[in-house]
Amino acid sequence: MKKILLQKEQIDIEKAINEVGTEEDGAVVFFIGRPRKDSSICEVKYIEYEAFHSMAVKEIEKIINDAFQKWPITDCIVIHRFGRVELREASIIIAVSSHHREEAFSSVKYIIDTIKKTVPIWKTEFYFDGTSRVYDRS
Amino acid sequence: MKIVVNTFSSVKTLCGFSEKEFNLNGKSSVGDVLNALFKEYNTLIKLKNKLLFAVNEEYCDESKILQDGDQLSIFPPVSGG
Repeated sequence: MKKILLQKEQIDIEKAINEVGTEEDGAVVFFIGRPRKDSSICEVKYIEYEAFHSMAVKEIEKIINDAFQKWPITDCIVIHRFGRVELREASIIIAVSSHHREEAFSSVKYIIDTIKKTVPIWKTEFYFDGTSRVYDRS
Repeated sequence: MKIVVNTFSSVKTLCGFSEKEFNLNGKSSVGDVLNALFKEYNTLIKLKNKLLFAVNEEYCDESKILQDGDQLSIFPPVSGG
């Protein structure tokens, strides 16, 4: 099972956890990405994500397909927020199931690392002092 | 021929549009369109060596030749996750 969602609403983490894995799977690895309060500029109050929706879904699909080629995993869910994300809320969740833990750990790391490099989504940090900055990883 | 240019994030801010139709004369590459944008929106030059491009939602480089009806998307390095 492969599932990709880009959504404005908060992510239902428990629901996502319960969606992945079969009775044959001994591992479900779950990654939750959240906004960080500290930045190089100022304390972050919240983050806004902008997405090129249709291309972002295609790119995430490519990454998931690559993960299925590289490792014997059974299910994969990726949910990414857009719009305003508060501190302590999940901006992204990745859940992968597999028979054994190594492939689930490896694929989740591959998926989040690659999403951060190739998926057309951008964040703007909004600070407690009222200013904001488009985050530039380059 | 006509193409549509889409911009995102800081590129959208610097250009002041998110979608705009352009008429091109003859064979044109992504780089040709980019140079035209640099002339019209000169503050965009500060992102010159950082920009990413996609034609019809597939990543490409500046040498990609455009076809009538193409959607060219221009954006800064991604920062999702």
